[in-house]
Amino acid sequence: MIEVRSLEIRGSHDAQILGGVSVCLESSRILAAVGGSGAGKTTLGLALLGFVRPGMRKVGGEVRYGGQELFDLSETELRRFRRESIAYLPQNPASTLTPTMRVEDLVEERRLAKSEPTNQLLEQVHLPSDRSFRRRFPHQLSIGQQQRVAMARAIANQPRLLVLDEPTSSIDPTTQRLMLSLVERLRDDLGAATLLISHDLASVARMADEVVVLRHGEIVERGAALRVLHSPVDSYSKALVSASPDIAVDQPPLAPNTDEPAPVLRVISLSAQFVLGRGRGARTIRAARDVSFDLAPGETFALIGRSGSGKSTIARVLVGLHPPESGEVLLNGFSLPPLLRRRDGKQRAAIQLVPQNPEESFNPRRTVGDGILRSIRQTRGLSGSAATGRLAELLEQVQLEPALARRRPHELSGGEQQRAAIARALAAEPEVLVCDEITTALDTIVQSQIVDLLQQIQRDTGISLVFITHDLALAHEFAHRVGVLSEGKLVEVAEMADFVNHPQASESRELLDAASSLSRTLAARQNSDDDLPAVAAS
Amino acid sequence: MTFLAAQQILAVGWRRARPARVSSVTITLLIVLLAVLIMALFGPMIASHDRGEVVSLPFDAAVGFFGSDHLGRDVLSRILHGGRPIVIIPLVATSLATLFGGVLGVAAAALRRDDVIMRVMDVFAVIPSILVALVLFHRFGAQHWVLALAVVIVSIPFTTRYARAAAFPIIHSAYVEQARMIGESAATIMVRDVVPNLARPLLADAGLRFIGAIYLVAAAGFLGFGPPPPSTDWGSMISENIGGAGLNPWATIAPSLMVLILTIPVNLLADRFARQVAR
Amino acid sequence: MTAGLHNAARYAIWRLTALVATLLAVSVILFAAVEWLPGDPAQQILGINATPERLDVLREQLNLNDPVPVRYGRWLWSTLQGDLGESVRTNQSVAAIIARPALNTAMLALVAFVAITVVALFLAALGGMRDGTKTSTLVSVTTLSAVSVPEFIIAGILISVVGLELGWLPAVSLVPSEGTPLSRPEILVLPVISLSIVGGAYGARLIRAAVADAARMPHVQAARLAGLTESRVLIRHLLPSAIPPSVQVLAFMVPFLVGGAVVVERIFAFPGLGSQLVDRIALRDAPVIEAIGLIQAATVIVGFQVADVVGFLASPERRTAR
Repeated sequence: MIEVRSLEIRGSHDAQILGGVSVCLESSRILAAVGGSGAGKTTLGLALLGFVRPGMRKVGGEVRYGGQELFDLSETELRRFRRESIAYLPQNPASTLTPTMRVEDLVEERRLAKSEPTNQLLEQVHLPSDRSFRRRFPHQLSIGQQQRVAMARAIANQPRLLVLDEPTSSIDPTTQRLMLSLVERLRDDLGAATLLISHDLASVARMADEVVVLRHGEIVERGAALRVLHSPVDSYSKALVSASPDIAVDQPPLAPNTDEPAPVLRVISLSAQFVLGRGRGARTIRAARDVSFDLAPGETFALIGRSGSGKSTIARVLVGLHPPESGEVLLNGFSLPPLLRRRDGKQRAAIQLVPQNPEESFNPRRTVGDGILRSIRQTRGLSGSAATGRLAELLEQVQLEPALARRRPHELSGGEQQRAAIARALAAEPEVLVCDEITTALDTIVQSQIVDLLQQIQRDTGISLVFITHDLALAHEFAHRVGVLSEGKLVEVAEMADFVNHPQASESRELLDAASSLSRTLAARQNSDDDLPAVAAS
Repeated sequence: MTFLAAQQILAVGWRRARPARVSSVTITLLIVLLAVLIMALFGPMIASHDRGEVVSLPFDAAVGFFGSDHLGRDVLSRILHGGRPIVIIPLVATSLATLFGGVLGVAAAALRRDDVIMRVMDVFAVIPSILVALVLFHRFGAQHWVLALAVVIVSIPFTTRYARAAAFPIIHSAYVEQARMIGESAATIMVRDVVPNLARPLLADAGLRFIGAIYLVAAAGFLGFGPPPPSTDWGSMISENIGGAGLNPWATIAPSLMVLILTIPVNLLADRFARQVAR
Repeated sequence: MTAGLHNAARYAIWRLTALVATLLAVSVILFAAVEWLPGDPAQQILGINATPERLDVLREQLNLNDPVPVRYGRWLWSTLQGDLGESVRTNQSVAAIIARPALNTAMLALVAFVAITVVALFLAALGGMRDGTKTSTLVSVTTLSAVSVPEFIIAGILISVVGLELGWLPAVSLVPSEGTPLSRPEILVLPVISLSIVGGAYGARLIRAAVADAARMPHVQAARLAGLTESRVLIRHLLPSAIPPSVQVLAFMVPFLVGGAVVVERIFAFPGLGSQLVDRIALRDAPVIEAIGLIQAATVIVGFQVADVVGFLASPERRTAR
């Protein structure tokens, strides 16, 4: 239906974004493009709409729809193609909604004569279709509702082509399932062809017929989805598949590498809230209600919860950046002052934070090495060659090339930034490392490297980790124990192995069901018949 | 990577930031601006006549390079004399306004209850700047420092508002939090984190403010509040000689051109700089 | 949508309070500034040969012996009742003195404001939404150069070339004694051009930046990728985000006009509020200065408030409660 032939796209300084990519989307088929960040997946997806982002340009190849080269079309013809034949859903679907337009107008303007009425479109995405809902503005909807409106808007023109860019990354499991069923309907009813861009191999395994693996703008492997994901040939594909966190793969039983019974950190009935927004629109969010847990020396405790549930606030309370409402934090049995400025140097050094976005945590006008050195000087009191010597050790410990430490934060890749942030935290020689969603922004392979690194450091130093994440599958690979947060409450605390096999709370079961598992999905699809392509075994 | 090699690499000055690429247009503009500044500063030393010296009948186009003015004084010499106030006053005033605005803005951004500072600024922002200037002139006389004071007073509400907006994301940034977490003092954080990151946006804003200051100084000269005769500035020269434009147009055109040669490069440079900062 | 109404009402009350509070604060500063002017009004009125007795009598008449706060209170009270007082110079009522100049300036400023808006929107549109095209670069350099030319230089050039050399338009903008500037519209041309070149160029730059910011928003890009017509993208998706900042830019033209008018009126000998202000400050005619200052400040405040109201109306998030 749409064919991309040796497409070449270059960015600034002639950097290759796509180097001769050829794919073919066929009617009623789902093609998935997988690969790390910077592989050119989104650029490929946008090229299917005849669009190249500003700063990039197409230097060769073609994109043909119905035999017609899209990049040769006139403005009007191209607009018509986008209007009538294709739908594009970007990574953050809610951001596509114009804040000054009402729900009904947003959906209505994408409808064509052949389309279903707006009411039905809204019902298809499980939204109310009454007048008062249709008259709402995006800001009056929950984030999940916004995503559904964006979906209704996308499918309103009954597209024959569908481009989904990382659809699952910002969406909760229920909405994810809805989206998958919509894609199926379009495929079955209209014979729509779909390009699914994703780094989540489990969701690819669930849906895709075919897979292309992209790396640095080139296709390194292609083939039937089950084959590629089950037994990849290319070394990069292999790395990608093996790095994919999998809840169903049993982990070797982990034991903390010390047998000291006394916990290094005790959190006792901690409650905290934060205020979202400023002025009259401000809302108070309860991030923690009566949260208690212990952390043993050398132990990794995973704190799991949905994105946006305020998990970061707990991390900030632990390091003293956010005042708790009530409750207590004990370090080695002694109560910690709630606020940073009341803590002494030892107390500050003992608990270090690795932040969600490492780039923003380094002064942009200084090198990352300077940031690490500063921590060495300030927390350990070293100076001169003693400090640079310590810096070299730290860089070696986090496996970061010393030359990179002389760069400024934005000149490093995401993984390198995160290693630098870890080195800076280790500079204080802490007893507890609080990791706040540190792998969220990274692609799968880098993610697993960072997790390996943390395990290595823990083996070497006996440090304790509080690993805050929404990714249960990832946490289950290396956390000893797990705590499940739901609306600020810790609904379950358990040993990881017990938790995976016998979850107690209903939230825990939901999390387990939603957790990514490539092997489980592959097995489910292999068992089902080929002419009955299964969706969502869960 | 061995430990030794690592240390060697680290030993080579590593706070060194990469040099920014500078375009030829920027260099040209800087040269023009520098030339005007040098002329304004050292002009009085190379002028062939004193600023008050009468060399001919009024508006004689044939005398000297630009002819003579409404009192028969040499226009070129007066231009060479008239650059200092219009360059130095805005320069000093803009620096002070940026400094005070920066301090107030940072304070407003750092304090929880910043309303008081900003409300006061809102009030001062709506008071007509000409009125402020005129009151000051009548109170203290039309002296250079009064002119500078007037510019500072009318600029501060705007520099403060800008500085607050620029400082807010810096003061609440993750890297400032990071510095607090390792127990750095407020003074250190200010010097190492806040000021270096605030300097560029503030400088870009100061470039635009500088133009406004030149306007006000020139306008004051034009309205008759320039420094007392025979001293002069380019703004006053325009107003003095505009009546004789038919006899010796250069007496008006030359100072007008001088103002433009000063303001246009400053504006273009400030714009380029501001865009770089925004990037 | 009672919630919406409720919000609008709260907003209106808040705005009005802010307006009144700012005006009050301005009036205090104005009064203090005028008090602070050097010289004794009584002495100035009677001249240096006045006897101390006569000075005392006059001071008593003018209530100059009362403490400053008392006089401020009295002035504020009568101003609130619409009585601006009398000139200490001529005994004419302030209202009579400033009525004509105020009308003249209002006309000049209004025409200039319209001209600035038209020029700014035209240049902003000409520059287009994308950087890097030839036209956009040309517009950018032209507007940047134009904002570097102080209005009195433009005025000077216009007077010498168009007014004196060519004689096409009057170089001096005297308003006929019986009538308004509109009865001789040609006198407005040169002053308006002087005011609107800088303002228009400045406005064009900022408005273009506002539109470019809006064009980069994800929902605008999404609307383009959805294949909507360019006019629909513009009207429904882009402009609602670009209008509030653009109106803000235009509001900033009000103080610019208030200040610029003083200089331009002076150059063209236009009998407006600005010329009046310069003269009356020299005469230390306190009631007139205070009245003019208040009018100018109020105009600026109203301009800002209008911009804020537009921003409020254009934003459903502010208009409706959550």
